[in-house]
Amino acid sequence: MSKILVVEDEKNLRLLYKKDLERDGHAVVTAATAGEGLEALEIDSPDLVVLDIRMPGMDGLDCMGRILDRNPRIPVVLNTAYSSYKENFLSWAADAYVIKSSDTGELLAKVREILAARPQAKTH
Amino acid sequence: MTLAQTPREATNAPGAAPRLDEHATVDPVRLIGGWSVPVAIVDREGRVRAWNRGAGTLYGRSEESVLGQEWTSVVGEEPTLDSSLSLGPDTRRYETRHRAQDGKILDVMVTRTEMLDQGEGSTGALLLVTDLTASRVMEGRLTRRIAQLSVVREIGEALQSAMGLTGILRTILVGATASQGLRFNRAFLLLVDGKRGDLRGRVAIGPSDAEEAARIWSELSQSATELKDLLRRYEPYFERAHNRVNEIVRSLSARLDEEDRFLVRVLRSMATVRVVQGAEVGSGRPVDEDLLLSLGVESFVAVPLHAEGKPMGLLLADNAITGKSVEDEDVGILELLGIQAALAIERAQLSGELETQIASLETATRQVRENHERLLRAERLSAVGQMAARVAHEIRNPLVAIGGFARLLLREAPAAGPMQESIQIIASEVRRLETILREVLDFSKPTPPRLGKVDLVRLGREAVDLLRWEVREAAVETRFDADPDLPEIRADRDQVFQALLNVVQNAIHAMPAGGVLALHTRKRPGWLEMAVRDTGPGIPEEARSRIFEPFFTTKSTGSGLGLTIAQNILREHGGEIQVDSREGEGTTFYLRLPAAEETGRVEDLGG
Repeated sequence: MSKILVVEDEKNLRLLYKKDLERDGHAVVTAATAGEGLEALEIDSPDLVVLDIRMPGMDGLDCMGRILDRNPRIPVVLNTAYSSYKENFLSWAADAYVIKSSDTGELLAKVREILAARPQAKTH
Repeated sequence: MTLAQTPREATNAPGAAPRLDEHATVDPVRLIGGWSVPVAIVDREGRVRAWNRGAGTLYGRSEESVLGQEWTSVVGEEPTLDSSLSLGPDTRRYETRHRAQDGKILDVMVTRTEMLDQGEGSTGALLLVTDLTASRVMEGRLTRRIAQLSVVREIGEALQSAMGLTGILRTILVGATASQGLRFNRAFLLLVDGKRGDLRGRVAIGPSDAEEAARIWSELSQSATELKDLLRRYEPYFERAHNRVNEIVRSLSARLDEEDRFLVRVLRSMATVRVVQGAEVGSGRPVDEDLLLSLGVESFVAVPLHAEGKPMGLLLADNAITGKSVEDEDVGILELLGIQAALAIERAQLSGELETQIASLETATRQVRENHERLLRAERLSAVGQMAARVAHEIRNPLVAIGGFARLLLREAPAAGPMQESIQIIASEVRRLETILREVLDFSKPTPPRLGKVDLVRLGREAVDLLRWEVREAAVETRFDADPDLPEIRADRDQVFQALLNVVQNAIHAMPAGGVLALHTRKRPGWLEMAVRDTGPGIPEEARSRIFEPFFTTKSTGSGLGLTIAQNILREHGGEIQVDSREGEGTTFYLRLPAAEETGRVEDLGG
């Protein structure tokens, strides 16, 4: 079972992603801010981070930079309402870029895909 | 010389006047007989007593035919006021008019010397006649030249102030033909057209025939003394398009490379050519038959007009009506006119070019200003757009939560029950809202349509069905109509549905107090068209051109994006949307999509 960290400032969305990801067979920890997310990264050692970009305080892109500073191997999925961040080169460092939707299918699929590829990457 | 001196003695020495007495050694009658200077002797009663050879030649009458006749009747001398100049006690001189046998009028100066008898009584007089006609003609010519030169100057001034090329051309022609001007009967102006590479007749002036000539000339000479007045009075003659000379001038043309043609030859030579009896004076070279035929004369003058060595045109002048021969002096004056004309025409053409350039500059300035305004508007729109985008984002997160949980519920709820259905509706409606949000957010970067077979009639019904609550609320009656055998269309179902929904919603909102909403789907060559008609108040004309503009709305509710999005969607599909509205009657939107067999453009977009 993989452990997934969801960093999302909207309480209801945190809950939605937690439920959906758990339904998909993952363990989920959540954080409401980038700062909380960085803490959880230390404490919970997740296998993958789902990261909202637009958050009060530190935003997702900054947060991703710090996550990768600490652990460059950890996959990050950017999950945002803004398609415009796709053009921000910082977002290119992410393993996936998913536009927020009530249909969480795409997010779940990306998470599965990345986790499936990861052990192979680790063996190299 | 000796003969010429004799009468001078008679006049200059009045004291030595010949005397008729028997002692006289010289008979004056015999004395004057052989002189070539016209001299006559009359008796006291004024009857001719002697008539010499010179008089015979001048008046064309023999001595026999005049002897004993009244002098005054012989020479046709009218009694004149005594304006004579006394040269002495017995001699006086006066100028008068005589008539020769053939009726020719003679300007003469008569020196009359009284012949006295011993008792100092007059026995008659010796009349010495000096023919002034020739010098009068010279004098007349001189006066006319001076007048013409002053006319040329006047024409020059008129040309300076003439407005535009037409005004200049008219001034030239009036100058060449007016009685106050150069007195040619007719004049024709041809101009070089550099672009077309030809020389073409532009304007002409002159009467069609002698009758018209008489009328025009008398009309004009009565009324106008100043060239300016004349120009004004000539206007109607120019305006008469069916004027014979205008027909002639329009038939005159030659390509500039046709160097053999008379017109081009003269233009190139830059020297005035006088044509007499169909041939050039000097070279004797015959003039093109067709030109002579067009002009209807054998004799005319052609003056090339050139400015700074550049050939501009040709001025032709003739005396078709009076048949008067063209004198060298006339040609000289016409050349003077030609020089002024060429300069004026050049000036007009340059100012014409300048005007064109000014006009294009003004156009450019206007475009710059329009672009500037467009930019300002775009900027404002993008500011509004950014705000709308922010609002849309705020809405999106809760929507994701609603829809996401609905989907979550859907997976957990018992399959195929009323609850399943309700949750399904929530999920799909949220999905639709998300699509709208995406449209708004990606407004400037519309995604290419995902093409599939689309049933437009069904989509229309679905759109109305989705809005049934609003339809019922406003008591709107709905009608559906469709042509049979409608062509297939390939389109993005969601997008077209969105467009339809926006237009239908707009129609319903236009009829808050009820009305008829009619959807009529029709075949059009190459198109499928859906007309969405309402019976609302119509769109005010000033708003009609703006209804597709983003954020333009006449409603208190609504984003102002509905019709803009609809338009964008149809355009993305290679289609169009048009509006036809009548105030007080209603509005019809026409949504047109290309029929499937001609959807090359849509396929391109889809690929």
